[in-house]
Amino acid sequence: METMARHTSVAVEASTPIRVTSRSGSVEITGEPRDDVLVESGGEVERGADGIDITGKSGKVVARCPVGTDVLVGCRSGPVKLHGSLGDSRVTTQSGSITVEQAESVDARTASGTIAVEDCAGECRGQTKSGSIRVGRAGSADLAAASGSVEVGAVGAVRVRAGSGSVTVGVTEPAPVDIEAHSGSVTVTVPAGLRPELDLHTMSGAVRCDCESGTDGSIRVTARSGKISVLER
Amino acid sequence: MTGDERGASGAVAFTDIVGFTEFTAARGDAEAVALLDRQEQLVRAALPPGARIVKELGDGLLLWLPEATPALRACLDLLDRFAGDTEASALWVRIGMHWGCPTRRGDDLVGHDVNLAARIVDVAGPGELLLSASVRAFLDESTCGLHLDELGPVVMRGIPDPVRLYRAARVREPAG
Repeated sequence: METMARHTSVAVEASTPIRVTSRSGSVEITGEPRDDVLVESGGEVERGADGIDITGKSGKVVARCPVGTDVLVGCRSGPVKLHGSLGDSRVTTQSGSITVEQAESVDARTASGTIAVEDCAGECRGQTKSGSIRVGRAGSADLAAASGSVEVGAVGAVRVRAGSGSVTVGVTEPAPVDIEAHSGSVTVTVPAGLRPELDLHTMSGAVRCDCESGTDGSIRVTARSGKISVLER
Repeated sequence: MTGDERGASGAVAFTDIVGFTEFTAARGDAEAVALLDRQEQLVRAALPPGARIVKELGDGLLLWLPEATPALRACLDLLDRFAGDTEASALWVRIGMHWGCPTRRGDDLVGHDVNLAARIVDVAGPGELLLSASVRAFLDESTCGLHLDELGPVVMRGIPDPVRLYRAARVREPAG
């Protein structure tokens, strides 16, 4: 027997946020050129006082929304994937990975999954207890990983708190860089010729710094063990 | 416990030191105990009138604060004090706050509101203050000088319904 897919479409004004709650199962939201919120599967839709509420009971929640929509997702388990171009994106999950393709800003929190953000125009916040964090590009970033690695391709101001994983950060402009790592190596790459204020401390590893100290932003790295490298690109 | 506190609603907050287990393993019990003592000193110095430390729970503290806006300001002050304190510089502290009417048991506070506050701090990151929508309802946002960034509905272990959480930060004055 074939089950008919039940799609629910709700017309929305620009800047109407959507909030998605899922007890279990994955969540997939896509920001694309359209003027409605289309729930393709898995969720009950309700127009709340300050946005559209989508409540998933079990199974996969799939929805499409206009470009630039603010999306707030809270779920217990299952991966969360945000595709396309979204506004301020907030995801909290107890377990499961979080993937964000493109957003104005990001706040991603998972207890036991990885976080991958491709492109974040503004601030990118992320934290995971047992997974890694990978950010392709962000205006600024504030990241914490208890036991996984942290990798940021291109960023301005950045703060990283890492437990036992390595940290790799690519800095694009003079800005404050603040990294604390319990164990694991820390590598910061900077544009050639940048002269940041430098404050590099490790208790048991080596320190290599290719750039001279100056006033082009600041780089502060504290590593309890593991080497510190500040390299020019 | 104060007389005003009996049967009243107020803010319940948990502090938690991120990475305390690793710190203790690396630095030893004596330094760990010194950090806990320093934490308590900093908390006592930041608490507004009528607030108190209810109890110590491992590396965290349960706090009772009778008014919402002073509670938030005090907790942000507290995070600033931890960040700027040389003796406590190894601490990454986080705070979770909920507004409710917990049940008194002697000097202790118990009940669902306390459990919820404990779950909220689990969601917070190092140096963060998170609060529930129930705290926000009692804030005077026009005068409190705080920015609240909504995190959306958050599903927390053992809590039947998702709770809308906010990340609190000070409003930054424009440069110049």
